[in-house]
Amino acid sequence: MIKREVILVNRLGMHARAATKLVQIAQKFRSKIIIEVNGMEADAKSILGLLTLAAPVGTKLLIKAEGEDEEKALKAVVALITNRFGEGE
Amino acid sequence: MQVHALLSPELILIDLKGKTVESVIREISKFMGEKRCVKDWEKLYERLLARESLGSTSLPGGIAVPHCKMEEMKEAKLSLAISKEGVDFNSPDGKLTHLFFTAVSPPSPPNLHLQVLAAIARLARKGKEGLVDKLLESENPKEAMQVIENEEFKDES
Repeated sequence: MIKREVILVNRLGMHARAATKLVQIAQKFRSKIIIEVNGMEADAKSILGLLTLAAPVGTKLLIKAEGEDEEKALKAVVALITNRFGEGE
Repeated sequence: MQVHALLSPELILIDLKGKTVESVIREISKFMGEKRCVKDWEKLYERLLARESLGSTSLPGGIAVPHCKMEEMKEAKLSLAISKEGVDFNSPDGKLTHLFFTAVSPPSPPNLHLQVLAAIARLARKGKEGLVDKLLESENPKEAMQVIENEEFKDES
C-alpha cells in the first residue's frame, strides 16, 4: 500500500461534480483507493462515500492505494485533485 | 446535519409526474416556488437545468440530487420528489431514478452545500435499496417523512 497527502485546492471542495470525476478516474484502476479525511475513510470509487466526507477547500486528504496498479492509480488521483478537477478556480 | 431536519412533509412531493430531465426539473422548481423555498421558480428552473447540463446529478441506486446555489437564499432549502414509475435521469448505473432530493443553497457559507449533499449521501448509504422501496410505498408526505426519520435515527451498522 502506498499513500500520499494532498490538499483540496479547488474552491468548491469535494462537491458532486468533482466527486463524480474522481470516481471516473478511480474506476480505471484495479487497486483499492481510499480517501481519508480526519480519520474518516471513503472509497474513491463510491460517489456516496466521497460526498459523505463533505470536504471543503483546504481539507487535507490522505490518498491510499493498494493493488497491482497502485502507483499509477495514486498518481492519477493526486493529479486530478491538484489540477482542481479541471475547474477554473 | 441530517435530511429530516431540512425536510418537512409539505416539502415532499409524493407523485412526481415528469418523465424527462426537463419536465422533472420544471415540476420540482414550480413545487419549491409554491412552497416559498424560492421567490422565482423560473430562475430556480434555469439554474437546476444548467447544473444538469454540466453532468447528471444522479447517484447510484435510483436517487438524484439536483442542486444549485442562489444568492437570495438565507438558508439551504431541500425538497423531496418521488416518482413512482421512475425517470431516465442519465444515472451512472443506468437505473431509473425515483427519488429527487433537490437542494438550493446560499453561496455562503460554502461548506453548507457540501453538508447538505453529505446528509443525503449518508441517508442513501444507510437506507440502501430499501430506502427507495419504502419511500415508493409511502402513500402521503407524512409517511415518507416518517421513513426518512426512521432511517436516520437507526443505529449505524
